[in-house]
Amino acid sequence: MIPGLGTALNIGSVLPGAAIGLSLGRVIPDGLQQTIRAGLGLFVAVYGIQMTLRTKNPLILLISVLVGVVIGELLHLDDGMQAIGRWAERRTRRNGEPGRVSLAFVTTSLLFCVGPLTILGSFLDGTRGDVTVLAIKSVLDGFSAIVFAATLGWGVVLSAVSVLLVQGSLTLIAFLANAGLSELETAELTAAGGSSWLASRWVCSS
Amino acid sequence: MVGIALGLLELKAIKVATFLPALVVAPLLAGVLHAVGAV
Repeated sequence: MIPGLGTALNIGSVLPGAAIGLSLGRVIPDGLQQTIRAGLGLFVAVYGIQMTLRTKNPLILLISVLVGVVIGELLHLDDGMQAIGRWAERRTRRNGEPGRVSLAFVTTSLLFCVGPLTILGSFLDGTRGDVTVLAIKSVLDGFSAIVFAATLGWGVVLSAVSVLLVQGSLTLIAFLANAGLSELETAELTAAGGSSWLASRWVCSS
Repeated sequence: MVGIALGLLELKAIKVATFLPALVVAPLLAGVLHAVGAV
């Protein structure tokens, strides 16, 4: 198997999904779009809680989130991601609602790049050439891209770049280091990812 | 029930990307604690 094939599959599902969603967005009534967004937000919240509950030691999760947030604030990570979305929006401004491109980009980038499937899938792809996990994720992301593109607009397309950078980098690192994560490390990583999922739910609702 | 609970909460925007370093800290901390036999 070729390392990176899983990432290519994922991008190959997000882009057509977004294209289908953008086409459907024109025919789906606003009320139905809002309801779909609420349903997706609810799913993200439930899945985030499920992921967070996989922690084997809540103290590790608490410390990780606190230390991680401090580091993230010091590095101005959120400002950076928002700036990328705003820059993309300025470059291709349309008559749509303001801020939707950056919202779509940030939300779907986190949705597609933060989670156990991303981490585990990338490491399996890089170390064993096994793309099964990323293939499953590709199907999920493809359908998510349809719904998010229909409701949030074309900013979803930009998330394919995030998938390429994040999953591609993780796969490359795993390939070069031939490394893997232990069960405990994977559990805590998943729990921390669940917290981020929940945070993305708050963004969707705001 | 979760939907009702979320509706009851006064939700506000959170700087989501700020959480990302936790994804690095969590496995590192778990690995260190496991190595020293703390977990």
